[in-house]
Amino acid sequence: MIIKADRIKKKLGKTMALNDLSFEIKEGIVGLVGRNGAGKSTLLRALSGVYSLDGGTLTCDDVPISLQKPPKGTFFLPDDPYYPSRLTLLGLYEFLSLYYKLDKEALLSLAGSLGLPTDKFISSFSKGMRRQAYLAAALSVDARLLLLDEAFDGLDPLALEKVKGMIIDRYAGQDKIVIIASHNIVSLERLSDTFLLIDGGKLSENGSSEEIAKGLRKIQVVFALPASESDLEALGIDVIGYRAQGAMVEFMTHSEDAIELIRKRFAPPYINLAPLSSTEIIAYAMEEGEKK
Amino acid sequence: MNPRYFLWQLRRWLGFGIVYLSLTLGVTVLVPFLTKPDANVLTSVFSASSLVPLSFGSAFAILMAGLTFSYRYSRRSSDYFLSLPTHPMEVRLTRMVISLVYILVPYILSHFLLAAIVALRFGGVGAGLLFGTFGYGLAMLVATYLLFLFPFARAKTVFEALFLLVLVNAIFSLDLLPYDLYVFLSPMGGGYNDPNAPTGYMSMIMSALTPMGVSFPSLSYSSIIAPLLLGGKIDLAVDLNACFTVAKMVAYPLLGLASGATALFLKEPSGEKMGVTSKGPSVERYLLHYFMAELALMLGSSALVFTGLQIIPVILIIVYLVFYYGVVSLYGRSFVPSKYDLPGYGLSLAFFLIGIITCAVAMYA
Repeated sequence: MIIKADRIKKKLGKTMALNDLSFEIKEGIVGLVGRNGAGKSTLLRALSGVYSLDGGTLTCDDVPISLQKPPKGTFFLPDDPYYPSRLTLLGLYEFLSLYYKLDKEALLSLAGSLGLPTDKFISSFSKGMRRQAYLAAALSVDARLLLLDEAFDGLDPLALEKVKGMIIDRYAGQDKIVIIASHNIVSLERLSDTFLLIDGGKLSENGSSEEIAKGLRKIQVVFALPASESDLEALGIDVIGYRAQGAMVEFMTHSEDAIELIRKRFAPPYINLAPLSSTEIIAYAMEEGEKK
Repeated sequence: MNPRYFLWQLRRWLGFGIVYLSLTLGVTVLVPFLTKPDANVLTSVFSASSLVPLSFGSAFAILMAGLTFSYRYSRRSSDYFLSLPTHPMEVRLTRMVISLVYILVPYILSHFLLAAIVALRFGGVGAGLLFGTFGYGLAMLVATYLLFLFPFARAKTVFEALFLLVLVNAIFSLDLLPYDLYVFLSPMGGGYNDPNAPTGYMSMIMSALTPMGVSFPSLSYSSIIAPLLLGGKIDLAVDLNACFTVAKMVAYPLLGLASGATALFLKEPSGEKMGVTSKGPSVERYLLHYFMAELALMLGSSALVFTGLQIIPVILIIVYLVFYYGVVSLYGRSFVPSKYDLPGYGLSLAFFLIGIITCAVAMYA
């Protein structure tokens, strides 16, 4: 399954929400990240057939996507989902089943693991519980293309980990695509196979975290004598995100020989190449994108 | 149509249907039992009471026209309905069919119930009279619903849709005021209870209470027929009303069909246009064009019988425009004639011509 966008454009009011955006997404779990107003929700609405595009082409398996013609097997969960009044969780199942194929057992199992009552109106739930109810429903839909917009907002850490586990169980390694839009990169940690970074309606980065990292590395050092950021830069090392925590200094760099240079110059008692998290990579990429 | 969605939506709107049915049946059942079995009042009273379901039905038809497109009035619901894996027209068609079921079934039930009660209490003659209005009423209810589909299809928010309803009701009230004054103040106002009242007079009463937005026929009373009646020119008033009724019966079903077809087949707007106050053509613009077309129809149908009173529809047009400008200026939108008004102006011209032609046929053929 492949989604391709070729120079797509969408104007909302006076703003070019999508501005010559081109990308290609294959099966897997994709994190759609960007600041508020970057165009994430607009892209999801274009993919789900809610918005018509003002230019460019958007296809899924070479079939064009247009207004009210989403790809077959698409389910879109917006940031503020619609539900008719006076619905319980079972009523929600009945409502969504009108047009989608839902696994009732999966929904009840998911709801049970999240501690959601099935006999109370959803309108009486807290914000987080409503979000969980809708996520449980979305994850029980037999969807080929699942679009989740700010789906993790309002989830407590325990619920978030459970939901992530559910997404991985149902979608990882399948010929399906899940696109999760979020401005909170941390929530996508250890979930997304690939990332799509959008800034001002344009593509900033696209790929796995390793591909986006492009040789970026994180170094942790304990110096015997104080060494500032400028001391490191004097060695020809590009220093990114320099941070001192007590005796430990941490920074990122593209310089391949940074460790050798620091050892020769400062002979630190401790120096280590630390693992980079997806959050750090994406945050760095977003900052770099803004600078451009 | 998706049968599951059809049944689900039918259940969701059941409350509206029950309220409408209760009101209609309640009045329908009460009137025959409150009326003395006098054959001379039979025609007038039972004709009037059979039209009560029609009057309720008109208001309910307008409500259902709004509900048909209510899913467009918020971003949340439009996100859901536009992303559905179904043909774009399917949801609209389902909601339209359900609306027509709820509009027509109570009307049919109440009409037959009334006929049964009248037959039991007063014999078959009274019951037979009711069927004269039955088919016409069915057609008028469908036409009223279709007529209001188009403006509600163009409304983008709940506020616009509710404003449309309030505007319609306000204009109805303004319209009916001269008629109500005539009924209560004129010596001829109680004529429908007068056993010596001419038959043509009864047809005027019936015409006044038929739908097409209850105000539409009463516009003719406000501006032309009521003054003629007050002046004692009954025959002229009856002729003019006949012309106007015939013209209306030709023009409005056609308009209703056009409106309904447009609402059904017109492409759905993109999601960002739903749930937000429109900056383009406002929904009231269409309503204004309907009323202006109505007045054009009246002018056309009375043009061949010049009474000097035709100046009143012209004054009414000015009153409506002032009312419109005044109301829309309250929430900061301006009404500037544009290309979107051309169809409305064309409609007014077409109605004017229909009025002249149909009445020429009615009077001279």
